[in-house]
Amino acid sequence: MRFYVLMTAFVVSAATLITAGAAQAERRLALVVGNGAYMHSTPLANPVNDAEAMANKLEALGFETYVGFDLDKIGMERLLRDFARASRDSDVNLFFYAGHGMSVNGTNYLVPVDAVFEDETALDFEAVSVDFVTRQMSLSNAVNLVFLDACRDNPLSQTLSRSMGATRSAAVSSGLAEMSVQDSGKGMAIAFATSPGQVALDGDGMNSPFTTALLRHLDAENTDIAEVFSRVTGDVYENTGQAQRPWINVSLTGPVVLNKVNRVAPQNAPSTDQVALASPGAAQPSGGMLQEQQMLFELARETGDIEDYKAYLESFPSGLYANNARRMIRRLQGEQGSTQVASARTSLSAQAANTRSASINEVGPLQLPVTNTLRSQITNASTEAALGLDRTGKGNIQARLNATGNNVGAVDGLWGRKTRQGIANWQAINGLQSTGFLSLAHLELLVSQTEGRYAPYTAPVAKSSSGGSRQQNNNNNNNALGSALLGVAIGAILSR
Amino acid sequence: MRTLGLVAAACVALAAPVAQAQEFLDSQKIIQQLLPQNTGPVVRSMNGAVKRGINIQGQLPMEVDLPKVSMTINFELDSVKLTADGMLALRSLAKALWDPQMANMSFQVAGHTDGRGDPTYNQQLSERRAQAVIDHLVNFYEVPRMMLVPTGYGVSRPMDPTNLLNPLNRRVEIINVQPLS
Repeated sequence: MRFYVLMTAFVVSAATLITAGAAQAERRLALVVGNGAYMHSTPLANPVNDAEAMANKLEALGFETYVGFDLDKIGMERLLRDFARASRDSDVNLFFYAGHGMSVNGTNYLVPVDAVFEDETALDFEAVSVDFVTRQMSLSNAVNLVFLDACRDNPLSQTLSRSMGATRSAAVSSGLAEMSVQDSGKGMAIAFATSPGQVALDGDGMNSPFTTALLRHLDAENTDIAEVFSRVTGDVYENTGQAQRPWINVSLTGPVVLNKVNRVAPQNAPSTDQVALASPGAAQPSGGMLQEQQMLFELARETGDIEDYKAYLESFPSGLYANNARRMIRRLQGEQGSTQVASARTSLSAQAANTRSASINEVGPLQLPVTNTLRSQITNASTEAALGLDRTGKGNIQARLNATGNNVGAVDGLWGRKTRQGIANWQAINGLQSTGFLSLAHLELLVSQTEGRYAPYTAPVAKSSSGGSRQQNNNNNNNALGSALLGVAIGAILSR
Repeated sequence: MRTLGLVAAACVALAAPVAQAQEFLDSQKIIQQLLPQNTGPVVRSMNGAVKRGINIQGQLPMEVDLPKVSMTINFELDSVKLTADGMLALRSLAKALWDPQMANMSFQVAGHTDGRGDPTYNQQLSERRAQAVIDHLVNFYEVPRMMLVPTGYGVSRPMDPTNLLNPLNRRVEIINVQPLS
């Protein structure tokens, strides 16, 4: 299952040899890792496909590729070391990772397939820090490009937050944190599949939405990498129903064109092997201008003010960050609250809305649809804690799970391994992120599926201390609110 | 105790006899009530300048008369968990909100409780329930979140002011706030 391959691709076609004098001098190196077969957390279907497709694409673009699939910690480190050594004297280094990722205290970690996260020490021993990789890359004088198709879902953070939560302030968030771009060589560009704090989808087909977009645009002819990023971002944003927005950190000191095609010699045009770092020339912004561009754009990013982005655009309408600025302006305008409320809806064609409305059948038994929104939702210990489940509530959920055929054993209001497994199974069957933890929406789905099909459970009256205190809470609430509140409590009925 | 009732909210409902019409509100009825032309002369006569500047994020002033529909949406006792009945009611609401006639509109989802219990607690509960209604519509029907603004009113706007304990006071109102913007 686990193997790693060192593929050195000397894809030098005859066509290249004719024209690509300058390009040949360049050495391009790519490290491609796809981790999917996780042993101790949710396996992912697509990372290996993603990595394979990317490796092929990169080889076609003249990269030497170091490729690894389903690597454990040792495998990842070994491959990294090989890559780091080789990358010292290359001109373009590219790192692509697909798999689980996580961020703790602002540091990003990639997760090997054998990682077990029991407490925070695991981070250092089980995971691979992205900084570690970028540091290796920055030792060279090359252009460094990093693509992280990670975040996905992160079931590991629950284990961590459970064990760290009470004692440490360390916040374990799902997915990758924002990364700083270090000053190094000709600069670095880091592309995340998703925005900070958000998750990235694994995708329904062969590839994730981010990799799909990347594969489509990476070899665009004579196109600067910044423009490639911007197209990828647009694609992903559109194709995920605006659920996932890639995030780019760029600090490049000049344009980077991965597929430079010489139009003067059209007979050689089909060659995708020509890769060129555009040589410093007249077309490029001078160093001073570039610095000014960077400063202005950084300023806008810091203030987050729409006017500052506009100021940048006025000064550099076709500058290096012009696309980013335009995008940010669009986005900030979209966020300007209630005055724009209608825009989300206006953008939908009447026809699309009509189809949508027609698809909801309001007669007959309730069958809640599992939407993409729901599919991408990550549940964890805190989404479940927000439900405020008492023992009766937990018992009823067990009864409901049993009714769906996901056996959790005895209905006793006490959740152990079996119940967690039952929840995870039920989630998987329904196409939800299979984490073993519920959220309000997941519970609503379960309730809708099992209404009237299970035997309600009532917890035994205050035996255990925890049961007792819950009981009291219920009574208090009932005193306070009486039976006034809407509906029927599945469990809280007991006090009446 | 279990009230599956969808109560039509005409302005007259304030004076209407208690616990009458247990009418099922299907999406067409919801749409009818939410469309601006059905707000009657009161709204039409209102000066636009008066409305402007009202913040739709918070509680609306009493005197603002907007197209709205009042629904009974059942939750579990003292909880934001919808019952199956509640979800059934929201299915029709989702269908209505997706109707092309509702395009370009935004709605306040207003939670109301009855007079039992601590007012502060009721206020919070009504806010959380309004949010839960929106989350449900977004999660299961992908209604654009931007269309909906949650607001809690607690017991401050009873349907039946003469009897705060009247179950009719527990409700969720969907208010078309588009005329305000």
